[in-house]
Amino acid sequence: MKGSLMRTLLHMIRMNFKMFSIYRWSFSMTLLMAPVRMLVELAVYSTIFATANARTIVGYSLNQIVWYGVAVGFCFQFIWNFTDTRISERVLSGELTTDLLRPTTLYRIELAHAVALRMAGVLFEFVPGIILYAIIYSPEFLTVLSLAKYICLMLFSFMLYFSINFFIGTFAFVTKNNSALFTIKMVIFNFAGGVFIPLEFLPHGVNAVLAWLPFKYIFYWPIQFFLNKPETQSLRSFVFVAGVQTGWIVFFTLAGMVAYRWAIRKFCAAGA
Amino acid sequence: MKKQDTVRRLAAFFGKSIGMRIARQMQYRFNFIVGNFIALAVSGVGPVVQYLIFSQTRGYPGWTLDQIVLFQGVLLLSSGLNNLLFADVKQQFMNMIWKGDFDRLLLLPLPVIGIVVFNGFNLEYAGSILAGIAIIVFGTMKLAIGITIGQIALFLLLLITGCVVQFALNVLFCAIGTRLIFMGRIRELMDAILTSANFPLEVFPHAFRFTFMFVVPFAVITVLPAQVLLARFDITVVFAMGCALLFLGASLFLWQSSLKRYSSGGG
Repeated sequence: MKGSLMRTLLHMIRMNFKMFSIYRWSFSMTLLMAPVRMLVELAVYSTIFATANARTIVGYSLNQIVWYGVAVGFCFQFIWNFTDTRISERVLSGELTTDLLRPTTLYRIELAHAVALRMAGVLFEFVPGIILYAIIYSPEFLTVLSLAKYICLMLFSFMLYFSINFFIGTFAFVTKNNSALFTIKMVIFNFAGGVFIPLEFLPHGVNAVLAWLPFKYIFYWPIQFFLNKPETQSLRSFVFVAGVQTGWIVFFTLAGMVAYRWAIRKFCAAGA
Repeated sequence: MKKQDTVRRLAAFFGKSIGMRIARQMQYRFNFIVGNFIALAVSGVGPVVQYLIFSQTRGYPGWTLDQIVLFQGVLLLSSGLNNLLFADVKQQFMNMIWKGDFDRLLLLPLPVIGIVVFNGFNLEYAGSILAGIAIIVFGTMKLAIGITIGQIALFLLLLITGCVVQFALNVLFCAIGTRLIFMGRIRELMDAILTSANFPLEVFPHAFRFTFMFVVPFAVITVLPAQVLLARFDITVVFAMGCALLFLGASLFLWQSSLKRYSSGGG
């Protein structure tokens, strides 16, 4: 079983690296276009800071708040996968029937695919990206330790995001088309995770509720470590965040397995 | 005559496409009903984010909170209209190019770009349009501003021009897609860059303002319609609308050029 997972993983990694090498122009364009977004945010926030005549806004300096947006992009480079929509599309097309005949579980197939996708993404997008962004607008706050903590927490974020995606993907066995669920998920993730805007902008009551949900531990907290904020200096805070992430990973992995066992009984191939 | 015939057939195709897409969405009723509410939530995120930034800072130069509320209404209306017409274009095109289905479109007796872009209708975003109109009405009442027939006419003309710019952006996306085949995260990045249309022009330096007015005329989508309602416009609006048409021409030219170099890469 372990051998089949490793073989699947290595195969997926080879495929994704091959894809990167074939479509290198696509990734080059991604690298060239991304700084444009940073420059737009720099322009917007420079004006906001100048109008407010402030050195910090909700605890962020101009340098930090611009890099907050950049770090959100980095988060997606670490975690992004299509597990839920892949399952839905394969249910609709009938291709999932083939996957169910393979000598490995659907969970392992999707995990291998997601790992391979993100390994290539980190190597070809994150690494050159952080160098390019740092040249354009130097991150005054960044240290080797804060970057290392960020990368470590992003590994947990990847597993958490994947396990949630797999859990949502199992609903496609019943609803067939889960594009609405996917959109709900993205809105909730992006809002509650601090993707659209740092969570400090939200009312205190909303933040109190969000502390009990997994979303801010996928984006917001790792970004705080990246930005080297004061509350992230202690080892205790790092262990706490990693511990919460681990707890949510266990929860959603178990939920995904239970949902899968329930949903597979209701599965009928919808496509050709 | 031939061009008129093509336009007529494209219009007929668009009508049929709308009917088919509504019928297809109705097949998965749970998804459709939930999708309508979610589309409203998705469209509302931008205005909410703007409001949060505005309320926690001193806002943007030259804009009060009530004016920003009106601006958000225009943003909801214009984004709702864009998504109603073109929401599914990018994803569908990416899927077609990747799987090799795009090639069969080249055999059809209609302009390919028309088939691609006029097949993106999504009824789920009708709610955003209604919400946008409601907020605009609320905003104008709160500001107690009188709006003339001329302002309304110019506002509607700018909304149509905004749709033209959105159409051109979709054409541009498709042109890039035919060259790259694998789009990766380019769609996400283009959408992120497009969010600059969600901010008043006053927050940008002069170079950006010029670019967003006359080079890549994002300002026509939201900012200028809002300024028209607030009676804060001048002759540059006409120039911006002209630049929007030029932008459309440039994107169509780029599309034709990319199509000539297209070699099927999917399947």
